[in-house]
Amino acid sequence: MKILKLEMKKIIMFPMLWIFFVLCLAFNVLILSDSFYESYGNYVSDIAKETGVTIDDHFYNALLQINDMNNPNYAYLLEEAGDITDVFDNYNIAYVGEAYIKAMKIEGSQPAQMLREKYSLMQERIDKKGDTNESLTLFFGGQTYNNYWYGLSRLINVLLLEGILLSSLMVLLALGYEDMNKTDLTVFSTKIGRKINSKKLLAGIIIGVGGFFILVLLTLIPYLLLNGYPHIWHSSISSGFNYISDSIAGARPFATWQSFTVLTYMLASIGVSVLLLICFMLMSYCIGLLIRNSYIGFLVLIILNGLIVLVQTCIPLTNVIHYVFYLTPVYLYLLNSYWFTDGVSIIWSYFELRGAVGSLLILSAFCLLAGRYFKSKNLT
Amino acid sequence: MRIILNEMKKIWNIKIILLIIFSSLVVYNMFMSFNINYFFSNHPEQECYVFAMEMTKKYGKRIEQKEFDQFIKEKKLLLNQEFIQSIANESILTDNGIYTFDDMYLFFNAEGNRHIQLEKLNGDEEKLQLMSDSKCRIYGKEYDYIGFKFQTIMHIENDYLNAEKYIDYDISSQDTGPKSITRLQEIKDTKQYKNISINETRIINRIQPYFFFGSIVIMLGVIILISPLITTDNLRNMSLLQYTSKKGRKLLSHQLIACLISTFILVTLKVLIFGGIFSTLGTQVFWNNAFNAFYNHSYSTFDFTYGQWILMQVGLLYLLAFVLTFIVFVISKMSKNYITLILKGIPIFTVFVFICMRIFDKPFFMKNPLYRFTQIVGIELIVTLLLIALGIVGYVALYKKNGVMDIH
Repeated sequence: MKILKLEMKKIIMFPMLWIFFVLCLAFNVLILSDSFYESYGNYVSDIAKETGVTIDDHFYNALLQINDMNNPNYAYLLEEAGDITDVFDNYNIAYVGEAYIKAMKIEGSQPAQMLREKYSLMQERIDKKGDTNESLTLFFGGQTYNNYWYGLSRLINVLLLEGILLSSLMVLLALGYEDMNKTDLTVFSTKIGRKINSKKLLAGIIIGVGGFFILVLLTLIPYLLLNGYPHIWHSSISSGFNYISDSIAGARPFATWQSFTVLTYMLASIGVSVLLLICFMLMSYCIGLLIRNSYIGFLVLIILNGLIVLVQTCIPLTNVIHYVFYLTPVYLYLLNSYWFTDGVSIIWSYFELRGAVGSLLILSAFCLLAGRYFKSKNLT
Repeated sequence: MRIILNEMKKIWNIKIILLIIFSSLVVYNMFMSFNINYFFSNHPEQECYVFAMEMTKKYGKRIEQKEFDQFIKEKKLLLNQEFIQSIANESILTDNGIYTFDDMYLFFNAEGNRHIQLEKLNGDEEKLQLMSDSKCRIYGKEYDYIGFKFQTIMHIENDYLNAEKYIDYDISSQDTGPKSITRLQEIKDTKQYKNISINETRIINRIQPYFFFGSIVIMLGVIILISPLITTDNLRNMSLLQYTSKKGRKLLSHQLIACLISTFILVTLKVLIFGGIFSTLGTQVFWNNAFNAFYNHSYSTFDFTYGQWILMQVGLLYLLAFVLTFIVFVISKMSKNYITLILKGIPIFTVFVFICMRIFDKPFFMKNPLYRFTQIVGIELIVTLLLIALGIVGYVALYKKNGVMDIH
């Protein structure tokens, strides 16, 4: 425990990490100042305080009682709320899979079959959503797409990237610390010896995850408070006002495997982000044990992930292995805006959980192997 | 010279070279190759590019009214013959009175079209669907994109005839700044719209992204190559040993020269490789042609040819790479270990990505964001030179500090 604390102290006392942390925060502020802001979204949020977020008779009555006809936002909301229908009622999502099968030209292959199975499974969830009127919630009304995709979703994307960089570097720092200070041979000759690396990894994970949480709190809380999220927390993320759009299947409802509110979806995303962060830290640990130079180690980490993307594009779409690559940490990061949704061309449900847990297990095995290699390595 | 060569030996480390090669491969395949492989896709941009190429091969850098009329006449005649041959296989169209491209255009582009179309077909929706499918085939690969060819020639004709009107429209626009108005007037007065140049959609959708990501590959290469030099010396306590040599602390300037030469070599190699790949597209046909053609609506801030434009961008790449060399050199000297170096390198790389995004976004054109904001001709070069000055100031400050620094 004492060693762990000291290893954590080594990371915390590294001043440049703090400067980088502050730079990340400054960058987030820059992103936020550029994010789409509309008074209508905030107006809807204020109204939700009075009406609640579920669009039902109570909502309409409460909305009519407000009677703010002089405000154009009110008239627009009245019109929007009057027009909304349950997007999941009689909604058949199979066409999305078919559009992708056609676009990817994989008809008749095993992935096509698996994609159809995934969408038929999704259909069951959608029918349930239709039964519970899940889409009849307010979110930000007509402003939902811009507020969510250019605001919260983009922010989570940036935070995740910063978290990955920061935590990977923490592990590389912890591993390379002794080498940097020429204390490696002394440390490895102590009682704990080379086993200290596992403590260093643990220290890196604790500080990395902790740092990520602080970064998330310092960025997300002001953003959520300023953009009226507290009043719409309990809107469904699959609100009829929220949608996904791409060039292959067009615009369609934001359908998730589970019923999520905006709050639970955000928390679930942060949870997967933490798993992903640990994956990258384990990757850094393996590389750090194999390559002593942390500069080269970091570049190898970046290039290795780039190569994963590159290799995937070379594997034919009719081969299942092509889709296995979607479960790697780098792809999970790239596809973070599709977490807990159908995941378009990915042939498995819950790809983010399968990917994160699977990667965690595989990388843990690699860490054990790298640790074993390091144990028997000659140190000069 | 011997010291510089030895420093360069340290810079061109085999591991670093391999990392540069792999990182370039990854960025090229992920972001740049698309622009080469799909340069000749997208319709009707492709047709416009081909017609521009034909015009420049036939008439040179400019096309006068008579020549243009002749070109359009010849093209229309040829395309009409091709169209008639194609439509003969599409009986659903001919049976409903569509024999020429004009007939087809009028039918499918009628105002309030679906209602009028159905009226003409006595409400037969199935027939309308079949006719639409047939039209899609006419526009598609099956008939060598004849529909797009015809459509493009019509647009080109319209653009040529209304070129002055379009410029006037831009002049009267509220978004046009005072300097831009003067420049647009000059383009109109000197009839520069008669120029034949590469079409702007090719520039915006293919050439610009290629240049932008090319600049990223180069900047990344410079950072990877230069940054470890002095930090490695610091880590190995080499600096103290170096200061006891005859050159002493002046060695820093030799190291900088070695870095600048290495940057020059790296940029030259990358420009040759990526330029070589780019040259396979054959856009050199437009090398001596100026911009501001009638079918484009992006205007240059001063007169230059396509070749000069390419060379100016390459020049900017060299300058930006030198700026980065100065900055990376300074942070390398100020970093005691690799993690500190990386933590300083990431924000600098991010800032350079943003700078490249602004500079290589339609550079030297009125739509460049820096020009739109400042209305200064050549602002891209001015910003780069200011950055160079900043880099030099940073280095001079470091050099002075290094000269009087206490050694422990």
